Amino acid sequence: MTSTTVRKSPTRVLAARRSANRRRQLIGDLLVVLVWASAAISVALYFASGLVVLNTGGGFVTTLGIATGLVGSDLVLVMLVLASRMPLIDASVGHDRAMGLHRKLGKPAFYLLIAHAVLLTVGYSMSIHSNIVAETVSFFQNRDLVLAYLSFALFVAVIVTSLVNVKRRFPYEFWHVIHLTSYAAVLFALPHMLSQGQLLTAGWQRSYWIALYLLAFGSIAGFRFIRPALASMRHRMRVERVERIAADAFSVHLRGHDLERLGIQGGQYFIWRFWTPGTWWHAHPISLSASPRKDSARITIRIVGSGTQALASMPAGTPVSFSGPYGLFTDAVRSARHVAIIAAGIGITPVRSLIERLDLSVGEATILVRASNPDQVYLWEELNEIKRRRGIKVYTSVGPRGRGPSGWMSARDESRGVNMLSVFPHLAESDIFICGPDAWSQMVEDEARARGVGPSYIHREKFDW
Amino acid sequence: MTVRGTVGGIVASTAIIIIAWQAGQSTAASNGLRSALPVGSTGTSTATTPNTQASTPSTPATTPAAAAPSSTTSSAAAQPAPAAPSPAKASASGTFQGDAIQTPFGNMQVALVVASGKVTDVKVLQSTNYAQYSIQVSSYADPILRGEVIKAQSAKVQMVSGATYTSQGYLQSVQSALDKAGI
Repeated sequence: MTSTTVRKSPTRVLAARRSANRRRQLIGDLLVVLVWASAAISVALYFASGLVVLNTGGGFVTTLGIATGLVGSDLVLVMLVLASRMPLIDASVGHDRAMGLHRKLGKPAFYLLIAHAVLLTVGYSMSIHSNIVAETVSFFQNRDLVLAYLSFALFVAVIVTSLVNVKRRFPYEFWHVIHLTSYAAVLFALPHMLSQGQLLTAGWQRSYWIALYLLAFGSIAGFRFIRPALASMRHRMRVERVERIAADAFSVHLRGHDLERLGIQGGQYFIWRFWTPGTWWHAHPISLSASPRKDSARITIRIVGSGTQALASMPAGTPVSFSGPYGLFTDAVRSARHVAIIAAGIGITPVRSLIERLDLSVGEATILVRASNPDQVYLWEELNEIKRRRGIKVYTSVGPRGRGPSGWMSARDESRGVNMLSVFPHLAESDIFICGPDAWSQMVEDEARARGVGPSYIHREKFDW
Repeated sequence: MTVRGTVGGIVASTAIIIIAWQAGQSTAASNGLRSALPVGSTGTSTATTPNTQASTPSTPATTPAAAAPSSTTSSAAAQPAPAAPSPAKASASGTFQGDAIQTPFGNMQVALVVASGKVTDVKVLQSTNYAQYSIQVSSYADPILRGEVIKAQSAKVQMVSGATYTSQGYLQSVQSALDKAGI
């Protein structure tokens, strides 16, 4: 066997981890710079053309209208790329954080597009001493501009349904269908850019924008549709059986082919689609709850709504398509010697597959798992088995949450004086992996930060798509 | 998405915009059509000689285009500053066709009707028509530019905002016609 049985010296392992992480963070930062730069370039090209007219009121307003339109369009295309699940983005910042940025950009992009429409209508009417109504009427006589108005209406629908308050009020599938029309919204905006935009009717600026559109839609088509479809066909996964593990949770055992070629790291997740008549249209981001083998894998799901409820009664043999693996909840992001893992409820699932693949010496990892009540101790017995095998310390904290700064633990543990440092004495030289509900995870992170743990040592995974 | 990334992004985009702005300024300047030029300052050799009717070495009109003498010459009488005793150059008369200037919205071409070295009318031979909007643009920009050119007796007038390409093409074509007329 060529595999090294002797472990490399801890310092060399650490140095290698740190440099890998520095590289990853550098790529992530460069991507952020690229987002900013792309927005700047979109107006820069306009400014550089020397066609900016600022000395009249109409000209000034028109210029602003053009600039806001250019930046807004650029941000929309950036949003598409962020949502495309591009491997480079997932591997450097993580798909969940990319989607966080996607959501953050939504409103600014929308405001810019509103400004674009309003300012150009006002600017043009000022220039030709017309009025806004007459100008709007004349806009509607142009086919490309009618499409642009349609595109705008679709954007309104997409953004409004994505506002947190509104989104909660509708079923997921309603939001999802509306959200899919954003592809149409982006496409419908293109003709008016190319035919009406003073800059884009010809020349290399036109080529630049067409290239941006191709990049955005190419990424979506390639990484969201083609690549997952090919992988799903190649690995031919099917449901082998569904196993109840608690009143509100079940594991799905999957069969497939050549799964080792997916390059899965422990702690990663896939976005799954189960092809039964009632469930095929809903994709679920779910972590593997055990390291996959060559021909089998397992995921564990908590029933949270009608969608997951339906999955619990899938028949054996149900075809499964997937995209992934995604996520940075893995050994690869470590840059310290020790590992502190804190998971709550069904958040145990990625932890379960993560610890199987951690590069560890005895005593380097400590886990704290939490449940509000004894019914939510999903997979805990498996944890105990791994703990013995790998020399990991495992603590549990069951019961209603406390109120203090360590309120992410049970009230009982908190009142006993347990805190993050008493559970994880090596906190200062640990990577912290947190998985659980959002608000809870935030509390854990807050305490870790308060105890001096740097942000690059904290690894949280949100399951998002 | 660290602070480094955000700061780097802000610095990079600021730099990009500043550089582009500078580039834009110099492009605009080299186009010779900087809109900052005051409208009234007529070009150098406007024929201030009022209707001496004498020497008319009229440069022959290059094309017979629309040779109809201008109907409304009223605006021409208004301007020239009497303080500028510019030596009256050749007082050309006739119709002078400007070059067809390519713009992204189509060609722009004008003809000048000149009487005794004075531009009395500007006729549009070809106008930007690439898209619906540019037709609309030229239909409002052309009359404005015509008025400005006649008033200034020059191509060095303000561009019409929102009609940059149209203005550029229009005024370049005017300039080429002025050159032919020797004004």
